[in-house]
Amino acid sequence: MTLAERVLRFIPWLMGVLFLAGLVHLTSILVMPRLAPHTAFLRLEQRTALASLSLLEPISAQNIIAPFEDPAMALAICRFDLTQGPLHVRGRFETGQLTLLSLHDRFGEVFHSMSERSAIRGGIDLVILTPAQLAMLEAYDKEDELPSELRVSAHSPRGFVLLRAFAPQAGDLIRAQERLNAITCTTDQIGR
Amino acid sequence: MTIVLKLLLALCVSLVLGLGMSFYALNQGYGFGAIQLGAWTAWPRTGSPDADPYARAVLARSGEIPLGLGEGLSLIARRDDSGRELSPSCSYLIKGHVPKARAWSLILTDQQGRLIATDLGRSGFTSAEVVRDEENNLTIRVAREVRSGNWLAVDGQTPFVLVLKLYDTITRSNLSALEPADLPVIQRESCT
Repeated sequence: MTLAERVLRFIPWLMGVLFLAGLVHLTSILVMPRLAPHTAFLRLEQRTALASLSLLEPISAQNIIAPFEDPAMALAICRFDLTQGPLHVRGRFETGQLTLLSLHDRFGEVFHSMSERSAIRGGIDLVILTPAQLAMLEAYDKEDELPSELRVSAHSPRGFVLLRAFAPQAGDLIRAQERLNAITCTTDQIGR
Repeated sequence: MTIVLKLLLALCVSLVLGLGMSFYALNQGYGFGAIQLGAWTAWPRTGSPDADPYARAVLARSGEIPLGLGEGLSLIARRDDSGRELSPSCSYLIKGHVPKARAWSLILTDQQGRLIATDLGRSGFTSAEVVRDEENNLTIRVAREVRSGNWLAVDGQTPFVLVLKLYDTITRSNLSALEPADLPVIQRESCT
């Protein structure tokens, strides 16, 4: 066999290997959010209760809640499982005090986020539901009235609400935590 | 070599190559859409529903909880303005402006995003804490030994990165209008 023949016979193998390697690469990237062992959701699942507000310990070198998280933020979590009913987040926001809210599904997608400045009437009244629950709830709505709460539908039934309250100076952290503690998370029943 | 052995070998090579590519890709920031401004890099799509699969995979692996679109924007610097990796045995001068935001934090973490324990007990400055000059320029010094003014301590051993978090900012949707001069420069001063 000449060298040219050897090379020619090698080409289909090379193409096959490259194709398969590409497939392995893409698959491993796509399944990562579902299979990674230390996702934010899995870490928080161990330290927070379901459907109630859990205040997290301040971030320090000893207490890392998530990488690159700001120690000037007080953090609270409401973990939800919408198969048990929609999650209702309620509370008052102190005006001018930076407070951030974001909704995360268990696979890491941020499906809603806001600051307290965009809150309605100085407070938060937010319901997270599945698309089916949203349809059901809308069936109960009075036709001539707009719902008083903000409704957000989630792609995945499990996830968490993250509340961050800014403490401008280190001494403000307790006050920031108190601001978060005034917010409640409860499971709603539809149709009452 | 029989065909079975050849196939098996090709399969192994594909697996190693595919997973190798994934491993490499996951260590290169947060996927596509990076915006470089001087020493700082931002990935404005992470934390939004448009985040690409690479960004999702990176976040799932590290457990990081990104800032949502409505919360703010995070910028990271792993190198100084001359492109040299930030070194724990050098001192740095961080100087200049911070883009418009309701509040911001500049924090110093190790390369995986964990806070570094130092005797100073401070891992960053917030917009309320930092002392500025008459022209509203900020100057922060990163060094192992005590510095006057705004000083962030490093332990002299742990490689570190700097993270700038802009909270409740329009900068995120307006990032293309930002110039490197709108962000603080990071200058290396001296090394031991």
